[in-house]
Amino acid sequence: MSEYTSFLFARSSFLEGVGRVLDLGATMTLYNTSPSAEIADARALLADRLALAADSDAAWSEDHVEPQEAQG
Amino acid sequence: MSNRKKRRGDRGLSRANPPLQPVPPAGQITGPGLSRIQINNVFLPRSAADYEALDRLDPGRAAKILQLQEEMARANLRREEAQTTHRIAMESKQQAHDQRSAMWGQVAAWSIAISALAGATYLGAIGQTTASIGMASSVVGAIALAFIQSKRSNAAERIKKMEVVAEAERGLRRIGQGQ
Repeated sequence: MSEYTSFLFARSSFLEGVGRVLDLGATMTLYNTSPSAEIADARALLADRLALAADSDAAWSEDHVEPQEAQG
Repeated sequence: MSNRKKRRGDRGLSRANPPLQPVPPAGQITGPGLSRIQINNVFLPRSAADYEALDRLDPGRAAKILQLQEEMARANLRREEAQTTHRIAMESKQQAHDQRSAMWGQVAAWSIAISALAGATYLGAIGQTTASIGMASSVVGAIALAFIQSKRSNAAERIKKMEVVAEAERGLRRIGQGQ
C-alpha cells in the first residue's frame, strides 16, 4: 500500500491481532496527528497529490523519454 | 494534338491541379527562427513563435501537430486515470488482507489463551502448580511480547510514513522560497 494514502496509520498485521488480545484500552489504535486542522488538511491534500503524481509516473514509466534539446 | 496545344493543355492542367509534392516530416522543415524540442524521437516546435514560424513554412502543419498533441494528452490522461483506479483497487484489496490477518491473529491468540487457561486450570486441579503457572505465564508472556513488538513496529511505520510527507512539505517550502 502506498505510504501517501495510508500515512495517518500503520498497516494491520497478524502480530498486531495477537497483541490486541491484551490491548484492553485500545492503545494500539494510534494515528499520526497534526498541530492544527489546517495543517492536517494541507498534509492530506499534499499526500493525495503525491499519490496521483506516483500514478502519473507509473503510467509514463513504460515509454516516457526525457525531452532533449534540438535545433532545426 | 499539336505541340502547341499540348503545351497549353499541360499548362492548364498544372494550374487547376498542381502536382502533389511529397510532404516532408515536421522534423525536416527548416526555416529562420524555428527551433524545436525533441520528445520521444518526435521534433516539436519549442514555443508559440515556433508554431507560427512552422505554419508560415508549411500551412496547416502546426494545427495538425497541436491536434496530435491534444490526442496524446487525452490518451495520457486516460492512462493515468486507469493507473489511479488500479491503485485504489489494489490498496482496498491490501487493506482487506491486512484486516483479515489481524483478525486471524486475534482468533489464534484467543484460542491459545483459552486453551492455556483450561490447561493451567487442569494442571492446578491435579496439583501441578508449577506447570500450571508456567503454562499460563508463558502464553501471557508470548502475547505480551507480541503486543509490545507490534506497538513498536506500528510506531516506527507511522513515523516513517510521516517523514515521507514531511520531506515533501519541506520540498514544497524550498520551491516556494525559490531555492
